[in-house]
Amino acid sequence: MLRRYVAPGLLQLLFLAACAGGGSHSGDPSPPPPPPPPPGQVIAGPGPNVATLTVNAGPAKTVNTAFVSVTVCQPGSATTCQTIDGIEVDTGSFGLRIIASVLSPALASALPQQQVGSVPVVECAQFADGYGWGPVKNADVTISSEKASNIPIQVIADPAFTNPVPTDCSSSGPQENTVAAFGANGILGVGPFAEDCGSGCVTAALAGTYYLCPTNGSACTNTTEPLNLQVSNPVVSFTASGDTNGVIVELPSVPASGADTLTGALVFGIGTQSNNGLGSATVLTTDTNSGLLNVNFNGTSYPMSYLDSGSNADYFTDSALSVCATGTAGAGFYCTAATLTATLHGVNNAALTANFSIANASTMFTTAPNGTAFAQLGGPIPIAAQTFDFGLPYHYGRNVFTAIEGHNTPGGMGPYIAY
Amino acid sequence: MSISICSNVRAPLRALVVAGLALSACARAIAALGGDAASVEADRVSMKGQARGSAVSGFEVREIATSAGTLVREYLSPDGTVFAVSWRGPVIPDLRRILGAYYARYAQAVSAPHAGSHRHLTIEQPGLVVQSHGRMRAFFGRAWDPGLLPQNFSVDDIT
Repeated sequence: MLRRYVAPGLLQLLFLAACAGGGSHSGDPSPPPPPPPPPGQVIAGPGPNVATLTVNAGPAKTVNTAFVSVTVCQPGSATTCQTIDGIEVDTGSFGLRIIASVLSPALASALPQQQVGSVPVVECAQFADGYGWGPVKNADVTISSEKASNIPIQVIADPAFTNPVPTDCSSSGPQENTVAAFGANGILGVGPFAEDCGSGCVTAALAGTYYLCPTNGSACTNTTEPLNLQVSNPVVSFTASGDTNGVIVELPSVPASGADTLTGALVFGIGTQSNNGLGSATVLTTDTNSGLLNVNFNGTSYPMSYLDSGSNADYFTDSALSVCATGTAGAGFYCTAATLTATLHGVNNAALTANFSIANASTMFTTAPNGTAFAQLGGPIPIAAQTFDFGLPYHYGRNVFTAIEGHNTPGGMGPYIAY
Repeated sequence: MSISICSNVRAPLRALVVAGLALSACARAIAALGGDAASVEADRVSMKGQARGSAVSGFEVREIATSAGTLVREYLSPDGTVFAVSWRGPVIPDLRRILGAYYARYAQAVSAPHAGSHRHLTIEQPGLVVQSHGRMRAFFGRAWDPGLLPQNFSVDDIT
């Protein structure tokens, strides 16, 4: 099977229709040529608001995970810095989190610790499959030429913090305190919200969120956290460029059998530069509190649905598809090939039809043992979750826009997704 | 865990927080998977939680709102055993409380490599099924013991 290796950098795929040629009968007016179809996917070339986005095995040998490099500096310093690759791009979370073991000791000790009085602030970042526990520190975060100055980030599993992990954090799952457990060197949460917790944490010390952890290692206590101190989506702080209202994930299509590596672009801003306009994309607004929208599939509504670059497959409910058995190569993913259709509905009543294919995961993984980008990888989710998760596979071959709450764009106010 | 459950589940979050100090004395542990009806009934009275379901359908559901605004449901069989639990909300609740004696088995199973990435997790064992899904601000999960399910019960009813 032919493998396409996509060169990094300029990837512009423009499909222009040939004008209708040709003759006309004498006496008949020539019909005007049909308009050209809209251009196919255009992936941004290098630029100040463009970061190279790579799908490969990454630091933890994962599939369908897209990575960027991020430069983290001591606030105000141009020299106490570190450029870290293998940072997962995640439109399903909000904020930058880095595994402590990845940071150089010099940088780790130079990042100012967020404190209340003299008591450090430490955070629990919950995921469905575990949690990240670690202090909130401030940093300058630079991605391509975009810079977020002095923003709160989370350093996961910082060895300087020996307090017992509070049970309302640790009991959501296992601690993801290593690169291997976490699946990446860190995660860049660029989803549709500006802060990771939001207004709920401002007035209430919610379990499983922010804590005050004494330096003597004694028990931590739950705390409230003002919005401007919460771990934040770096994009909203790219104030010098004004590319603060959202991101575009741009990844080319892949062959059905998968690709060993894939290169695209993470573009900052929507309609703020010449390379980030909405073009012909359709805007689907989401619920303003949850960032979720409705998907109809097989006659059922799934109101808690989303597009998510941080999901390694398309996860949805389909009892007609079998799941690969434990112990097989594709264990946990769908094992039945199918061509399927769903419709996505924005709160604004705009709709998009999604045509997608699922293939046998065990066959895919066995046939392409070095593959990392699989467009037809699907997995199950119970109907009770009311969720259709269009993960990274659905991002291949289309530019997906995520607009941030409270920020205006030419397509309207975020939060929304568009493609 | 600060489960301020001594109020009607419809109370706005602010009211739960304002009342938190006064109510801490009556906070009760959530009845865990495998727990019994007596503890749930005590919880329900003090929690003013909603009960839905009926004897005809063969099970009963109790709802509890945690201080973070997550809704926890406990499913009881006619003999008064909690055979399933579910949660839905911005924060995953304390699964040590919710899963009770099943937590150790869950913790061990989750530590093994799994397919789901940060958004999805499924544990399927003969005596325990756990499904955890979602992202920051929107989590959903459920757990049950297949051996405790009532007759003619569909797991699709665990919501």
